[in-house]
Amino acid sequence: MDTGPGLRQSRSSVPTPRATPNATNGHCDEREGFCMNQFTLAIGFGLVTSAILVLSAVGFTLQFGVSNIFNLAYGDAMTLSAFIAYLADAAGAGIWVAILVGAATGALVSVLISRLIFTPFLRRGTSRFAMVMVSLALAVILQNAIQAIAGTRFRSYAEGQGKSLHLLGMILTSYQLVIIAVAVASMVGLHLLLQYTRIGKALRATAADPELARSCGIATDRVSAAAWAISGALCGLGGVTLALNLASFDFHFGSEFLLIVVAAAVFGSVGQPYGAMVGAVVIGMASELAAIWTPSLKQVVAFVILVVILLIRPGGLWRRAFVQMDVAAR
Amino acid sequence: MSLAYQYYLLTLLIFFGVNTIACWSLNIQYGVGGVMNFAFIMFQSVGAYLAGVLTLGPSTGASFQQYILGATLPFPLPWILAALAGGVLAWFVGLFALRPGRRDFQAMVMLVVSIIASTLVLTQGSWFNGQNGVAAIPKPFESKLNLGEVQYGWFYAALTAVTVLAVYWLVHRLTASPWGRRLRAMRENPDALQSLGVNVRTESMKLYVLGGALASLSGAILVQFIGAWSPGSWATGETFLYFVAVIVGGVGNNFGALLGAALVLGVFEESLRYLPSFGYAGVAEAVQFMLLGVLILVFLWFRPQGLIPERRRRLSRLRPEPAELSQESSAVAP
Repeated sequence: MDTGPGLRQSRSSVPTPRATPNATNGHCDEREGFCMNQFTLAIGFGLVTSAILVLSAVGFTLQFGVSNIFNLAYGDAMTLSAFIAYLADAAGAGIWVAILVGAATGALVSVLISRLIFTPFLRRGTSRFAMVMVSLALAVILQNAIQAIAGTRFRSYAEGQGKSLHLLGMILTSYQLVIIAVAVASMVGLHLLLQYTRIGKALRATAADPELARSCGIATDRVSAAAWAISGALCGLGGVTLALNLASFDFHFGSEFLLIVVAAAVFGSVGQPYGAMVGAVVIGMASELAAIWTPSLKQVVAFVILVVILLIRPGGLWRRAFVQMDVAAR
Repeated sequence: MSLAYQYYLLTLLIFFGVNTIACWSLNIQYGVGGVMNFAFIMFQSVGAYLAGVLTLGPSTGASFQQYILGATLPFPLPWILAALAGGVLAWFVGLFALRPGRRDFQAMVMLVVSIIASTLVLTQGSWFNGQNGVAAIPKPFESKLNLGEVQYGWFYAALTAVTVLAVYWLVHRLTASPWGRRLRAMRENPDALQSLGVNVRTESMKLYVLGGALASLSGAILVQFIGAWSPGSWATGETFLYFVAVIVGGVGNNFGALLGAALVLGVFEESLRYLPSFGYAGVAEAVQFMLLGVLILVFLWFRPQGLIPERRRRLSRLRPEPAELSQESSAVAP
């Protein structure tokens, strides 16, 4: 949620994501008239947006799956990770190290949030209902703390945008390829982890039914810590890749992005990693394709998809699993 | 008392009245019925916009103002129509936002709706005049009464006070009625209520529409006093302020909501005005919001029921059986 004084300031200075490569390419200068090339270009950008969204939405949904809490501070944890990665990057560590630093920050922040705030509140008997307020308060604190310390100016990573490459009619910068690679690698890794390792199976069991998992001898405490760390790492990766893809970023880009993250997660049934992957790709592609006509349509398309899925399947795409989880949560 | 102080005082009073209605709207939804309206500010904003353009007259494009639905309606109509529009919008949003079974899901969808709405308003300049909003909104009876600015302010404060009393009467009657009891049951355990044959979604929808209408009414009162509407001052984050007020004041208690409106939206906000500013522009505000975040965490930890807790309702006079008594009175604040 966007909260804070930043909102009251003029927003006209916010740069449109990916405006630079779109505007500078020589293939499609006419704004009037639709040309085929723009379509393939949009698919390229859609891939990048989907990649970022996959990282963020899967992290968000994993957190929900294991904790049953809508973590509104997620977007601001993304921002924080991007800022710490920025510090590493500005110190000359290089982009790969910066990405790792971002992931580590996200993991650390998420584990701390869950250990220091969420778990104590839940132990005290705070209702699920009030937990949303707790996470909202956290989001407000985090975002305004970042603003108070880092200020309101826009920053960019030292690497800039990298050189552009032409691929199958798409124009992607080398860093956008890095983003896609990171997303694909993370998702394959997550899939292997969830399906084939002990911790992954324990994690799925805990997400499905924490009580039952505990009585089966699974150390749900440790599993949930692991889940927060993994989802936090994804959150950090999402933050750094998003910041890398935006030409420049400020203190509330993460919370702005949270809207689309929530849409993707709800689309694929919250708590379902595979659902979130599908949701991220659908919403990422659709919003970039819509941007061919009007850039401001992007968010609206995400919203329309969300409304339609809610009307058809209130529980999201992965509804069956979702209903089971919902019952278990009560 | 100098005129400037009088004006300041009556501005505070009118803001207090507006915030009180807003907090009651949120309280009956969140505190009594358990519907988390994270799109709250959107309803207030819509009411304000509508009340504004319905008094401004048709859009002529003069003085850089472009808007839709312009009309010149006599006094109570803009307020009533604004409230109705808030209700209709709530019904429309409720159609899909209330579909997920869990309250926090609904809250997320409403949050998305709220953000999208503010994006649309900012980008669709021709509908709502973009970031500039609309200004020079006439005040009710101002031209007929021929009063000085301060005297007119007192008149408007009285008008607000009458409205606040009327809204209190409505909200009080509703929360004390059997329907209010049903809402509290819905807050505590929607599944159990559903199993008793109550359609929880329909009840949530009624509540959502009522809350939307009240929120819009509060926006209408506010905009006719300040005379200007801009999307920037009704940003998504403002919803948080109202939630803080309701939680600090007392969830589920109308006087708690009133106290919250006075303390959080009045005293807390105003006291920061007198602090010396420090750092660069915006730091003081950022720190203020951080303090609000800490405040809500402190309250949810130490006093989740708020300063004035919800009154325990007993049915002792109706049904003296002790077994039923203990069941009825075990209402827990959310």
